[in-house]
Amino acid sequence: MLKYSIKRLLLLIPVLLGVTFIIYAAMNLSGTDYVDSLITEDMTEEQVAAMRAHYGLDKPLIERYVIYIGKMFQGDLGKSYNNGLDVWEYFKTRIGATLYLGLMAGVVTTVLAIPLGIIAAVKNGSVIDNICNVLGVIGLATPNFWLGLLLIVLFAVKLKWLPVSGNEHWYSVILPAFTIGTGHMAIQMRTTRTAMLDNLRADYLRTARAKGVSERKVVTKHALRNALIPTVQIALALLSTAVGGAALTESVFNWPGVGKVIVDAVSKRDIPLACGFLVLKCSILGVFHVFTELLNVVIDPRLKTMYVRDRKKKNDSGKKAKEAKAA
Amino acid sequence: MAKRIKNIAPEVLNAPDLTPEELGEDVMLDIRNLTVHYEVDGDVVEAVSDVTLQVKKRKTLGLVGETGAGKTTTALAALNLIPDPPGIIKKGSIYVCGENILKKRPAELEKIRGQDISMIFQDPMTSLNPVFTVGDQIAESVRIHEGLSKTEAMERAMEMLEIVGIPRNRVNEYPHQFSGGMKQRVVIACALACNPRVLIADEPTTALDVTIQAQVLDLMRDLRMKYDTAMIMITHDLGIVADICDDVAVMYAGRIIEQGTLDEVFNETRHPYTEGLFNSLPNIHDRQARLKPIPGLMPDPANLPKGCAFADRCKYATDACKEARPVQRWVSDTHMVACTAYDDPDFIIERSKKA
Repeated sequence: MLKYSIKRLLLLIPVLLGVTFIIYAAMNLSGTDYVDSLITEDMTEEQVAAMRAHYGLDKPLIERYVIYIGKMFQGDLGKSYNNGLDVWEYFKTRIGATLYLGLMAGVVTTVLAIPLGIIAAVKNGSVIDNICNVLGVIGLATPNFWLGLLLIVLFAVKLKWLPVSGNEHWYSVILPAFTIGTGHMAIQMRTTRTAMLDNLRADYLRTARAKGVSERKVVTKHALRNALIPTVQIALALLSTAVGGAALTESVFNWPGVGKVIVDAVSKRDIPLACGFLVLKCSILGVFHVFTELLNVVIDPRLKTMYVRDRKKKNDSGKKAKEAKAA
Repeated sequence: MAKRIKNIAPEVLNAPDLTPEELGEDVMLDIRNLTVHYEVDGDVVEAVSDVTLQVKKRKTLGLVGETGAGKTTTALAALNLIPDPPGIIKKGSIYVCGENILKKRPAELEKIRGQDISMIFQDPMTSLNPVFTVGDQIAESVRIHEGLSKTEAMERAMEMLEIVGIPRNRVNEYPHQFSGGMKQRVVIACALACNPRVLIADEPTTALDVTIQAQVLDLMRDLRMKYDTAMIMITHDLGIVADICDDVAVMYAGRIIEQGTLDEVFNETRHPYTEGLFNSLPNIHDRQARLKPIPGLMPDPANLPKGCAFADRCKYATDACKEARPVQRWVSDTHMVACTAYDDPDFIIERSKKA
């Protein structure tokens, strides 16, 4: 297992190389660069060229990329063109808010969606099930940023219960967390419901009932334990999008996280800032995915034995080799 | 959840209970006039009609018939486990160890299932929960019914594994780590863990190879002697019936069409369908002989003819057979046949002529 995790983590390196190259290339091929946004009418050609040289933008793309990667592996992500801050230091001040928002959104999603999904499945075809289905469709069909704006208008502007934006109070997180959480909730609820329905029909539930297991335990132990496999999978995937991809919601709520910085950096062609933030965010998500896989193995024993068998095989072959030597 | 089971018709719930005298001595499982329907979108499937069975202590009843004849539905009804929806118990009574199981509340049923009556399911691949170890699954019923601690229950699970011929150190492995035959044995161990007084085995040996089959049958025989277990053996295999059963009931299209002791059904066969079953067996003494399969298929249980359901496939069938359902005719105290042809006192089937 440990070996497997390390292997997976090492695989992150080529992934990050690919990600950086795509971002780097895309931002450089967009036709404009950072200097274009600084040019004023009274500048001469020479001044502009000097400015390009100052930022290193006069060199060819590949050369700049190689230099960037070389520095990146030494732990230097460069400085933002725009505000001159060290990218790594800047990232550290912003990531906390993003993680916090993502986790809170994940909590909103999980706490609401999984119990509703279970109830909808157990009471399949009932009024509750239908209400859940309708809410699910609405949740899926509503764009996040629009829902965010509506929530601001209602709870912040009209009712004045919650702040419009920022993260000054403990309750500032409620609106953005609900904005992200509700969209995800629909997906999570549908997955949980489907997984439960599949398992509620399973033959092994009949076996459990025949043993005298109570109906409550048949649902909460035998069926739910199996339904958790896809449910947790989706929950973690959603959590990773909540943590990693909330740029729009962060913008709407002026949330001091990394998403907003990336959006701004891309629009200003601030290559080191955008690239650096994306690389760091991808690294976090990469680690998160390895963790997800490990958790999966814990939940689904069928995966675990896959690794155990590998180990057994190796032991067996080792033994055989020893025996052969002895003979 | 202290509510009653929903899928039972009110007349079943309101029927008066049988007295112990009416039930008879040593009767562990008593099913009378059981009728089970599956109702899907207005279609009514008569899965089981008017089935009456009795199994006494230490006796084994073979329940024979082709796929879809209603054997498994009868068995599930005996545990009050008819899938709801769409199953509905329309008529009849079922007594397990003297208790009317159809009138029990869920909490009471939980005490009966697994301990008084237990069932070996036919598909080992899907009957075990993939995310729990086999030990947990065997120990589960012991923990429920005998209140043993986790370690005690696991100890019992290991004993059960050894009894069914699986090394005890595999107790912490998961179902997918076992072969099909071993999974079947785990299913058997689950059903036997609490030494049930009534055991229903739904094709317990179909997934097993012949050597293991013999072991499993021996195991059931032992159990019967040790714990006085009453058994119903559901099978297609007449060889197993001859090997282990005391009585035989032959089902066709939801009804019992012939019933009697092993000797009566095998040697004094009355029903043309039973005869057809025997004719489809290979004959070891005449290896050149061709098998004589029963022509045609069982009628759609959602759309049964008004006469005898077997008439279309029966070589003895007359117009009278297609007119009305055959009545149950008692040839002896124990031997019943439901066949209209016996209205003619001289009627005799070919198999009996030879004998």
